[in-house]
Amino acid sequence: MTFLTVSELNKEYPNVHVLDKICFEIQRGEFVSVFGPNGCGKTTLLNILSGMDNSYTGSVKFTDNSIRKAFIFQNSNDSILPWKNVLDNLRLDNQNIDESRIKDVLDELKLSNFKNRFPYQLSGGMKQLLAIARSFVFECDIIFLDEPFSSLDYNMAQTVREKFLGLWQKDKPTIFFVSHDIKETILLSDKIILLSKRPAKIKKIIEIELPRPRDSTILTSKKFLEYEKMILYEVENENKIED
Amino acid sequence: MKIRLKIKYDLLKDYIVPISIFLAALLIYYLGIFNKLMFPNPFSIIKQFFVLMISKEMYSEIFLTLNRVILGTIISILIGVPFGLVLGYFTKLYDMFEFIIDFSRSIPATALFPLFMLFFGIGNTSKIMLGAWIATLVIIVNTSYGVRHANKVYLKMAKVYKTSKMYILLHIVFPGALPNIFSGLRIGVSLVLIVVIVTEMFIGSVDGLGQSILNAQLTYNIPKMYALIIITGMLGYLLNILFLTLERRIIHWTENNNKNNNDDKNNEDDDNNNKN
Repeated sequence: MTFLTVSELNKEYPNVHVLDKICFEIQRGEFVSVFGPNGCGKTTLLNILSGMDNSYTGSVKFTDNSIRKAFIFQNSNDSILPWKNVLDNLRLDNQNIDESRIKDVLDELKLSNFKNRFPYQLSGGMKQLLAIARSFVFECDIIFLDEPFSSLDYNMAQTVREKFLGLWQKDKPTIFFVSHDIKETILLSDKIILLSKRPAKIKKIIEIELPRPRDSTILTSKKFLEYEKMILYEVENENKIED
Repeated sequence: MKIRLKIKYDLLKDYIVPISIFLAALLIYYLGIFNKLMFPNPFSIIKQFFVLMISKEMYSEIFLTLNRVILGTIISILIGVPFGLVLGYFTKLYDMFEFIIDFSRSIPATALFPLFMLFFGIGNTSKIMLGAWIATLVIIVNTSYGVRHANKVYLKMAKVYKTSKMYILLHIVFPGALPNIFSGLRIGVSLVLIVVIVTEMFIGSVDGLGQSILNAQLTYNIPKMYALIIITGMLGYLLNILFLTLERRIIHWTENNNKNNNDDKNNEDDDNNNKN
């Protein structure tokens, strides 16, 4: 079932042409990633789709208008309120939130012991998990993530990624994920949208057919490496054309 | 030997400068550099200070002054904080008010005292209101600054999760501005103290520490005057400490106010344990 249709999406700033005729579709429950060079317009695309940026031409259509969106920022410090403890950060002003839902999400992320702590008593990885947990507590239909693991060290990022996958596996909200880490992108996604340098065009859309549930052991499987090669080839190709 | 010296130094370092100043004052007194009437024996000032504290004759004056300062501060908080929040949140409103606030702030508060006397009489009210006036302006400026320079991404987040306007104002904007509100409060309370002491010296005033200082000078009881000045200083210092303590209690989440930040390492260990 189609969830989101983007067609002929164009975005121009006064002197820069950022997005050039972007067209794609996302199915409900799909995990879609955007991969491309730095500064190519990934975040711009994310802002447009999530409704934070409304100045573009072309069309962005959700099949259902009443969907709930969530947004996970690059740096957890930007979305976690430092003066509220973990529980209050999850609830915000939602009075009739399902307490058992909070409990399930916290259990899944192994954060239950920290529910009364304040963000400054948590590590960077736990704070990012908390931001993710909130989008699941609110039962959002689509979650936008902007390089959410890039500020974490390797081990922490890996742990957070796996917990995130575990949570996603359960009720499968649609995910729109921006990353510049090839391995991460392949590990997580159903579908990868490869963008070119600015002005960004869609270079290729790759379906990742690795079995789920996935964990870090998949990183060394043959199929995984093939996907990685394929994407690297595309990236290299572009660099050559430029030279 | 070195260690013992170090311990002594740690104990003494807070007192070295005040003690040196006292010794210098003694020296100046005994050398007779200044007129001994203007510059009395430092020991007599200390003696006078303890006499005042023990005899309790000044307690009612201290109380009167403190009462004015506290009332003035409370009024300025009640007006300044909400007004500052609104002005900081609605930038267009801030632009409209910016000039008049900056101009009012530039008028030395004491220049307005005759005007305030016309409106509020020569009693308590005019002194309290003048103190409140200047502190309110400072608190408005600091609060609105805190709001305007708060993390904008919190607002984005609130928009994404469709929180109510009231929640944004009370739970996101207000706590975000608290550090600035408190620095405004601390500047404000010391300004109120200045204004109250000065206005107590005006003709027509009959009580308060300012009046007592003036009386001591007029009756040539100079050691008493010095002792009262010291008491006034202590009052200001204690008020500042009071607000600092409140600030640390309330704003527990900023870096310099919580001791838990160095627990970060432990948390990472917890995280790794959780994985297993």
